[in-house]
Amino acid sequence: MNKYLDNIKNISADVKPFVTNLNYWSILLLISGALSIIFGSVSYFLIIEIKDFALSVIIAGATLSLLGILISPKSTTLIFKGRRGRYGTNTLIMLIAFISIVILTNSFFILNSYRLDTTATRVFSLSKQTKKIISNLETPVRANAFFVPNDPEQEKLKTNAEDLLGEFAKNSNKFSYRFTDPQLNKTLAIKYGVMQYPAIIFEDLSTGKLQPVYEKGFNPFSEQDFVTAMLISMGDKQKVIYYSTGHKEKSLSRDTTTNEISDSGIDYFVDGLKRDNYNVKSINFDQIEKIPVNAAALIIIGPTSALPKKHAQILVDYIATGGRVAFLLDPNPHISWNDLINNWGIIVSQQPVADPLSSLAGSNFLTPLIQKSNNQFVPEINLLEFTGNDKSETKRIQSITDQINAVFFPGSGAILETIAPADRPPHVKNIQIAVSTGISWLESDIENPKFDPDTDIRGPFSLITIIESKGPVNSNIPVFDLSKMMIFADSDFVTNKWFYSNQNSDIILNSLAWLAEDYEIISIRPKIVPFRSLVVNRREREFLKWSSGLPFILMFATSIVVWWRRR
Amino acid sequence: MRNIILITSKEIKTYFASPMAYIVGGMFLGLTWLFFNTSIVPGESNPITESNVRGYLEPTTLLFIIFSPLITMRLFSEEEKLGTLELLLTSPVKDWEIVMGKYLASTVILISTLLCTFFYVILISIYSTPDFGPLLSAYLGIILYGIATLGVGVFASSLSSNQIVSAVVGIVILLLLSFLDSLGAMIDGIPSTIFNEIALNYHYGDFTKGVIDIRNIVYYLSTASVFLFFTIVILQMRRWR
Repeated sequence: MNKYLDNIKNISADVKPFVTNLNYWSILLLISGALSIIFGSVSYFLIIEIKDFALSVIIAGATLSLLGILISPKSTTLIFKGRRGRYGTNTLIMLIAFISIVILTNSFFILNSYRLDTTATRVFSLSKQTKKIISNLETPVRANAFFVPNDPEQEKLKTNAEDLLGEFAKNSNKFSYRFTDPQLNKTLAIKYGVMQYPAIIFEDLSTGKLQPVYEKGFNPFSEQDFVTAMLISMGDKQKVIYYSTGHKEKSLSRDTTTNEISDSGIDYFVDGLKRDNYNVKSINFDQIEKIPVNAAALIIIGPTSALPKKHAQILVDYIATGGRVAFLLDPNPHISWNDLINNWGIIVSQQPVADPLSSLAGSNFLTPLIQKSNNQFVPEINLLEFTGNDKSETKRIQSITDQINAVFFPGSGAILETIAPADRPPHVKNIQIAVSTGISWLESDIENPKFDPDTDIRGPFSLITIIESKGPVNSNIPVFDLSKMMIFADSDFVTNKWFYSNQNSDIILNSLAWLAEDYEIISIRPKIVPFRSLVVNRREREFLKWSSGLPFILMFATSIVVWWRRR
Repeated sequence: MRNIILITSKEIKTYFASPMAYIVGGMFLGLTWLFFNTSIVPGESNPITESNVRGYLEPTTLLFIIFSPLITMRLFSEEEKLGTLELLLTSPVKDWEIVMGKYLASTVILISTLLCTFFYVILISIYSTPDFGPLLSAYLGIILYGIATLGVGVFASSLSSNQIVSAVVGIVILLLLSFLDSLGAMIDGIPSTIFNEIALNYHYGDFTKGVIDIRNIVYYLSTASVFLFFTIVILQMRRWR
């Protein structure tokens, strides 16, 4: 015990000269003051959120420094005037100046960054629209990603999700993300209601509203998946798109027990619309008197039975109130459908289009391929004429096909005009969006497609047409609100079999987004993420394995030679 | 500039005259060979792999934590131990020229060793068509990463006359700088951002993806320049301490 007391006494004796020495206190205060000023200044300029705190740190630092000077002006002078003091001060000033320059330079580039995406398909470049949405976030949003580590199947998806979320976070300080192992942190997984992995739960941190995104058959997550989930979590109101039933249209085909889908179903199409943040509902005209007022758009997909008069009236009434309709009619539709669209001066042909110059291989010319390289999409000059030189509207319509390089329409018909342009009243405007080539024709004999000048009609033909009208063609004056319609002379291209072929999905989803006036969505289409595989046979694998050791062997051999020479 | 070139060439000659250089280089290439085989070369369990360099360049950053201090440990430590540092400091060469000369020499050594791994790219290109954009950006990133770690290594070398101590100090600083982002991931808010921005690893991910961000380039160059400046300050302090 005495030993300890002696020790304490000794320590006290050692410390006493310092504690009682004013010079010591002066130096201590000066150093603390200088450090506080530096720390406060850096924080003040870099971290806006703690500006007030940083200012108080600067003031405290200045007070401490002043106190240090007042306690012992002599030692303060000595610090700055002594030989070591002078050099030390110079070095300190140089260090502070240099580090400040480095911090400022880095801060400048953090705030004014430039990113170059060198991937072939610009995988890591978010669309302008996504950037706009993220940078305008008003409330903080967090993505809670649940992945099981070291699961080879989830690993690729995790990298893909991490890359995308990283890009999101780089564009806004209000967006953050975190990865959690749901098996290790079950409490958090339960809190977010995660029952299957991988899953990413978007959370509006101000309201706590959640919106999950689950993996779909180990397909990579897309920018669009995340934007949609983010918007929903933030309370973005979903628009409703209806697709009609009751006229033997194409419909959903998923078997609820086996989860299997058929080629002729429209399941992928409906999923695509949902990914675009739409609430997609079916509608049977027998059960309604009019199209619900919340309809952002209505789709009619390949009806094969007649359109009853009552249903036709419901449609006309909807269009008359500024309705937005996409008609996907196959060639030779029931006459009642052609009668309906003939109100706007067009019909769908009875025969399919044969196009030897641009058609899908193996389709007997009967699957026209619309390619940008063939100038088969509407040129800007025609659009300007259509919109009356309204550049923003021209741009919006153009955005439907802007990013499309090729789409095809299996067994497509042609959209024919039943009224000459000169006779068309000014309140009904139409424009051809995609056309077949000049040597295409309407084929009567689909078993043996061959142009017959006596019976076949020569193209080019419109396969997609937009109509904007304020009344039917038989009316001389506008009688409706401005309605917008898109007519496709084919419905097969949206079926499960063809939906993800070429850019078929993009053109129909873009069209619906245009009809529903969601121009932002059009620019957030999923990008192609090519998997550049390395596939080798056994012999090549062995070659790769051993030949890749050549640099190591050469380096090692050189070390032996050098050692031998110097020995 | 002439002085820098002279010092650089002298250091390079000294380095490559020693078998140690080839042993360190050999170890580095041996490990990258291992990474290449486990991540890129298709095996029984993974018959199809992706033809990119991400698989072997990402773990290579970990190697730099050890190899950069090993390359730089002798630069100042040995001079001080042999007593030639006084001679160098009193010669008509500026302190920053000495530091830059030695630093450039170590950079040339590191890049030349790293370029040997480009042989793997040639092998990949024979059997597939890799996306050359991300491939080149990954190499740019690893070079910048190396440049930053060498700056730390040069600084550590100036702290002690014992090469082992210098290497250990360098490794410790690099370990701290490399894994600060892991610390950042555990916390939220501004401290997390600060930790991430300071961490060496945090800035490398973009390069392997194929994204060249000016922020990351500036960060690596800044890290190297800060530690080189510290080294100059350490040398200057010898004069008046």
